[in-house]
Amino acid sequence: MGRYPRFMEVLPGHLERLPAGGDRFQAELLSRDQRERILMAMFEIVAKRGYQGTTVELIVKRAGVARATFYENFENREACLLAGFEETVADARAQAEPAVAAAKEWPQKVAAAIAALLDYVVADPARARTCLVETVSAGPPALERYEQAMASFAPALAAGRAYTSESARLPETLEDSIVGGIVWMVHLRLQRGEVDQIPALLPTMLEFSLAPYLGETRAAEIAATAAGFANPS
Amino acid sequence: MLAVADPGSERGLICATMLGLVGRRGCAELALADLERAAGITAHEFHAHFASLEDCFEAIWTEIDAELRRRMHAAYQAEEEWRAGLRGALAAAVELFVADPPAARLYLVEASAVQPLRRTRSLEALAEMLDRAPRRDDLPFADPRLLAEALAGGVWSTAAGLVRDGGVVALEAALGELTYLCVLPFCGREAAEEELRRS
Repeated sequence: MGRYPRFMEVLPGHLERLPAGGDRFQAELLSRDQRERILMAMFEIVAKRGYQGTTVELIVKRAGVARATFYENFENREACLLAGFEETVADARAQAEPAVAAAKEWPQKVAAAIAALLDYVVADPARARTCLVETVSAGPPALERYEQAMASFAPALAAGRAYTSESARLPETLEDSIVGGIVWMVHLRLQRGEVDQIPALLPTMLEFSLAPYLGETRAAEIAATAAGFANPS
Repeated sequence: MLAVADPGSERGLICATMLGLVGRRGCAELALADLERAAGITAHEFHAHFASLEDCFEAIWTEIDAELRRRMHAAYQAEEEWRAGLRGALAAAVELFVADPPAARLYLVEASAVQPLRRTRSLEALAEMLDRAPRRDDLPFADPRLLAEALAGGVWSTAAGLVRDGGVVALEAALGELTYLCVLPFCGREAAEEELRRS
């Protein structure tokens, strides 16, 4: 997947410990790697057992770090989840940016962003499941952050209102509904373990997202070219 | 009033109290001791009916779900035309929630506390209703079944957000918007805008 250091990708089932470093640089590196390993382990365990079934004990065991190391990086299990969620949202946005920037018009930008989101989900289903399925049951702060993240996608969609004829009326809640519908389609496949079906959702997601602004026919035309929106990165 | 929350029985009293507490402040900070105190019961009496708070929550959620589906189905079946049936079904759902705001919060906003599969089945039922929309020859969409799934998810998340942020008043005010969303792909813009004007 290329998102983690090479040593993490080739680790066997049990994550190995890094050798302890002596100087400050090595200590920082070790600390950063340990933090990433904790987050990786957290994603894996939450995706498998659900947030309520995840304990710090399970995370540190999977990450191969001491309990004290966990608490040096995170106050508790919830803080670990929130940090993982924040990093994922930022990471997913960064991954989508090149394709979105390369697209000239709004409909193609929307298509590029959704395609990048689906690529991201498929590349790391455990992380995606944790963030899109489990976060909502992890207590009020996590739910609030989740809602904020979802709401942050609405303005990019609302730019499509400029493409709608002046006489057309659009509901105020339209963008919230579109984001909710797209996330639900992904949520359902992650919950059922049908990750392989996620890429095929793109044409319907584009029709669903674009039709209110551009009309059914134009939206379907763009959706028919969905394969061309693969993320160049 | 929900049958499960009829305070005439001890079990109903527990459910009615739970509904009131969740309706006011949500599930997250709720402890069994709060429920016992508010209902005037002991832990022993609570456990005679439910294994846990989650168990109690699930019993209430399940009954709201059954009642919601029953009313939506009846309203849908009462109309010959799909669009009128869908409008009736959504209106029936909103009516149920407006009459019982705590039930709206428990069912929609606190839904993550319930077994995920239950919520999935409920949304699948709505998607099935949407998927019964008449197929237009000129409808260009590749997969109407998947589109119905997206619409169901969009309706649910919007309804939950409205209740969370503005209560059932906001949900009631947005009935036309939710109907618009569902009607647009299957019946076109003109029909969808008619639904907006109704609200």
